[in-house]
Amino acid sequence: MPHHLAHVIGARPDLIKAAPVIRALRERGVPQQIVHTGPHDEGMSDAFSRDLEIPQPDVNLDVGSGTHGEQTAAAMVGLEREWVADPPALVVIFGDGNSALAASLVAAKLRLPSAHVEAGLRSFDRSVAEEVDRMVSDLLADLLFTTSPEAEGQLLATGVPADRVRSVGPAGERIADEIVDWLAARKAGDPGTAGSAA
Amino acid sequence: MRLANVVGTRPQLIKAAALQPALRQRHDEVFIDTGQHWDEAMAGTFFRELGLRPPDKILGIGGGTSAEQTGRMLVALERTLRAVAPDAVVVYGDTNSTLAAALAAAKLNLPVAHVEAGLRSFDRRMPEEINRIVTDHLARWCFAPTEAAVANLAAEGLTTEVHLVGDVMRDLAARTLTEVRKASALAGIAGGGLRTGEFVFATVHRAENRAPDAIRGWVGLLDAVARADRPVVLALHPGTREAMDALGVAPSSNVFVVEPLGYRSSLAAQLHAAAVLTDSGGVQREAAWLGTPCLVLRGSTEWVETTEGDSASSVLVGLDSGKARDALDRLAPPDRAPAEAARRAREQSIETDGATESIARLLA
Repeated sequence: MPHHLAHVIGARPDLIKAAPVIRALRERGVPQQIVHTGPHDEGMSDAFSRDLEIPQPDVNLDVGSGTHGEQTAAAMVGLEREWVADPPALVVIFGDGNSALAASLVAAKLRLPSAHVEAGLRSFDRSVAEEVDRMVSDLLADLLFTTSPEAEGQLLATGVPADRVRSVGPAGERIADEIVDWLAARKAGDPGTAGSAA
Repeated sequence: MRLANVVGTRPQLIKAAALQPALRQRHDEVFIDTGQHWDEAMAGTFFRELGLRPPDKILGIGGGTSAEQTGRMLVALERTLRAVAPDAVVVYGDTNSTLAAALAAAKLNLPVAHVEAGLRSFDRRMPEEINRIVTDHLARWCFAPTEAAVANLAAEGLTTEVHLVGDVMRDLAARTLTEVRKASALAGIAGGGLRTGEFVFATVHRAENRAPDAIRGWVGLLDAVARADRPVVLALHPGTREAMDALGVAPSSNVFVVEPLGYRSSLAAQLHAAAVLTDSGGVQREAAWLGTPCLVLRGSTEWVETTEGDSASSVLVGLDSGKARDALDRLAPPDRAPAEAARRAREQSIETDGATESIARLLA
């Protein structure tokens, strides 16, 4: 029975976003794993983690530098290997890089539920590579945390069921509470919030 | 326009064959095969009988886990698409090749055209469903085969550049029909000797029909309808055959088990058969276009339009031998079936939606 959450971190801004959520979940006693995909020059130094008061990553996939395709491919293969061996109860995706794209696809194909933090953001400019990542993560997530009514509206307009969306603002505490509730509901087999195993 | 036309599996090769003539009339095509289901032995004949040009680029990527396969395709397609520098990328259906090509193109800011857009099973446990959803949302053009597909896309907020073009497979069937009217088109099947209207053509390939109970069910059904003077020609997917052999079950000697047929042979067999028995949605549609009675070896079908109404020539029989025998007696009685089949082979024509022409025209 899987029990831990897997946080997927690519670039440093992802970790800054994740830190309050990780701290709040720790206070609530939820087991967590931090997976750093390890793009080039985005190393998580001890000092960086210490400043954010979170542990060092449990797993470093070390995908290094490369094209979008190369980085996404390396992250996909690494994440699949990790999660086939030890499937998490929920994959939590921060941000909108190749790591987020890879995590969303692998979770969906392994039928692991995923949550997307800062969901529904759009530039409406497809020439921005991150726009692709954001779209795919939102399409495939089971739980979407939004920070604005515009983001929520964007998700509903693309057919995301309203019961998957949580308007929480940027607060890590709120996100942690929602994750704890969602996990409890899923465990209880509540079809309202945990029906999809996408 | 310079188009990168990306395929990987056999069904995608057939769809590309349907589209290729119309595309090449208006556009420059670079034909790319990821090799997802590459079969060296079959490839030559397969391309020849479809009239398909050999691929310009063969990436040779098959096997591996889902992430390994998709990842390797992503890397190879990114490199290939950079080198080819097309104006747009055409993808088909819902395989890992479809997903990888759509993602690679989107990241290179190349517009994507999705053929067979908007199909949904509403079951996200199926990897194909993930591939469909992501590809539809990344595509600039969604070419939908049916009204239902258009409605599925609209429900996900996709309404611009969504085009109801019809089924590209219908165009290919219409073209190929004229080449298989003579009984000589049956020559290569089951060792030869098949006569128009004096055999039943069957295919079994679906995963649910590989379970032990299901195998016993359809083997029993085929035995019940096969006769010495009207044998069943069963084209069996290798995986299904393996499962049947492993179970130690074999149909009677009135059932001829053969390898899966190529596209043209399969269409010839369907046109000249007294009736078709199948669990394939594709074969079910082709049989309907050809006017050949069809017994569907499933409890339900997503192609309901072929099974409804008084004049319907398709019947859902599941794995029920009694129902299958009754349906055959009604739709293809042995005393009338040969004349009926001969008339179809001579006169049947297929009106097309012009899907391939519409797609080629809309890509501008």
